[in-house]
Amino acid sequence: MTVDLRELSDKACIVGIGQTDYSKASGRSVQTLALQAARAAIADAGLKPHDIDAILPYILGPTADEIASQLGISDLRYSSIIKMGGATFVACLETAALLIHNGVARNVLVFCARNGRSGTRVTGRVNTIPGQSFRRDFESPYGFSVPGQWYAVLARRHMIEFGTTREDAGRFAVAMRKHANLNPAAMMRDVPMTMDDYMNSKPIFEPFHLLDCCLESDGAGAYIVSAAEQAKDMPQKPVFISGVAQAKPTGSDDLFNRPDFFEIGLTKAAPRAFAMAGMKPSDMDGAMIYDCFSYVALLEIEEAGFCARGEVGDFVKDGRIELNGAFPINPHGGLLSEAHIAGINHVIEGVRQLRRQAGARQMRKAARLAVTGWGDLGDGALAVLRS
Amino acid sequence: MASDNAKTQKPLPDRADLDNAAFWAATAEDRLQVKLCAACSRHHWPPRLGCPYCGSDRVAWSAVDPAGEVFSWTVIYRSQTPGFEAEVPYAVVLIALKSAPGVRMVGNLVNCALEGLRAGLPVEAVFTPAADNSVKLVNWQPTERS
Repeated sequence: MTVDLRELSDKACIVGIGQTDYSKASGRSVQTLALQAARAAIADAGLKPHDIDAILPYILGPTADEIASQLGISDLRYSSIIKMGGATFVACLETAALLIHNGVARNVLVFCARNGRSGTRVTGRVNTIPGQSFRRDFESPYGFSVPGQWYAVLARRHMIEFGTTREDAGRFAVAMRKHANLNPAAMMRDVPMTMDDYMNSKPIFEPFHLLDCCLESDGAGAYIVSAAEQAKDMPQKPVFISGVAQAKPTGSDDLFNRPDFFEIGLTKAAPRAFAMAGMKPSDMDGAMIYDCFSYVALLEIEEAGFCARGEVGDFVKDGRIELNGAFPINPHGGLLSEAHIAGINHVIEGVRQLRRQAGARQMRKAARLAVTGWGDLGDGALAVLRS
Repeated sequence: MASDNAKTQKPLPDRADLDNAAFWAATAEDRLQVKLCAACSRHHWPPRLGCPYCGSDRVAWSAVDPAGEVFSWTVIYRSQTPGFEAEVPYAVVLIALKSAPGVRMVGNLVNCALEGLRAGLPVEAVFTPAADNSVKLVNWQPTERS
């Protein structure tokens, strides 16, 4: 028996969002960061902490138990870790919608808190990635041990097969920086960046140069999901979860031996999410694309269906993805230039845009947005959100 | 767990891993093995205990011709692996094996200038002893100098 996911469409809404400041050194514990973001999201939703009856934490950081205890939640009915790496916070929208639609929970708190710059940096986080024995025996001995290095091999192949260029990735990175310069919360708000800066940045894992790589950040974000029926009486304009799906790529414990080399979770998740919403990629007013590296965002744009595979170089030309372009991407500046809060900041930005609370970076038209996630060895999720 | 080597600090494979030990026994004799499924006759990599294509548990190590071509690569200028700091820039190559379609293996490019890297470059395996001689790793060099 399969469930008709259309039935789940628009049944749950994001009703609250919260975040801390994003920085290189928060000076606070991850517990403090998590509680600040969670309290902000709960208040934004017009709820009290005891209204929260389910918590979905990140695989790294404070647990549901710790946060419930410190928020005075005495009856936590449900908690679980959705293990999708950077796709977690889009995938959690699916879990939250299922919990609510099935009556398991009424108000679901989802959060991420990290001292990702001053505390545990990327080399300390890779041990949650699947296929650890493969990494240990067949990759690390060759000096190949962090995600950016792995993804660089995907990017190089994309350049070989489709003629994708550094300038294509540069257009994405420069757009992210322009957006961040309009975002008072962005770590790079005061740091402009030109295409020359991009082209001249030093190589890190070629073809990735420094300015292809995301920030490492301290900070936290949180959101609350409640039933659509309840959301209409809550203080903020509800943001409907019209479609959402998560998927693992074929062979999700290894990046390099898929029969289709460019298949990622999004390849499968995106059509399911759009079908659930009854919409097409071309119905979107813009997108929040998980941009751990500029080239990874390019791969996602294709696999999410916004253009055909191999055509992303043309897609990002002529300012199309910039705030005033035909298809704005990441008006907050993304992981590249706002902060790396594991993509929960992409969900938060989607909500802000749909509520029209994004200030100087508000998209002219933002009624339907897609949010993507990319995790580990290409795990993927996509949500279609609407106001 | 990476076993640190006193000479280089480079991580080494866990030769005691019950599932992968046979691979290192073969490289010690300059032989390359991947997994082959007796049910669907397909090779696969990395080595699993069941076939990723058909799900059969009839998978076993099988010797393959240690030759292939460069499918993709990265040149690492900032290593985040212990012991590799002094070796940058170095190339990590993804090699498509000729005799085992669909198998792509990671290794280092050796005996070749970085400028010589290109897609389709024919390569052969070089069985390289680790600094402590405990194991032979599989690296790749051009079969014809171009």
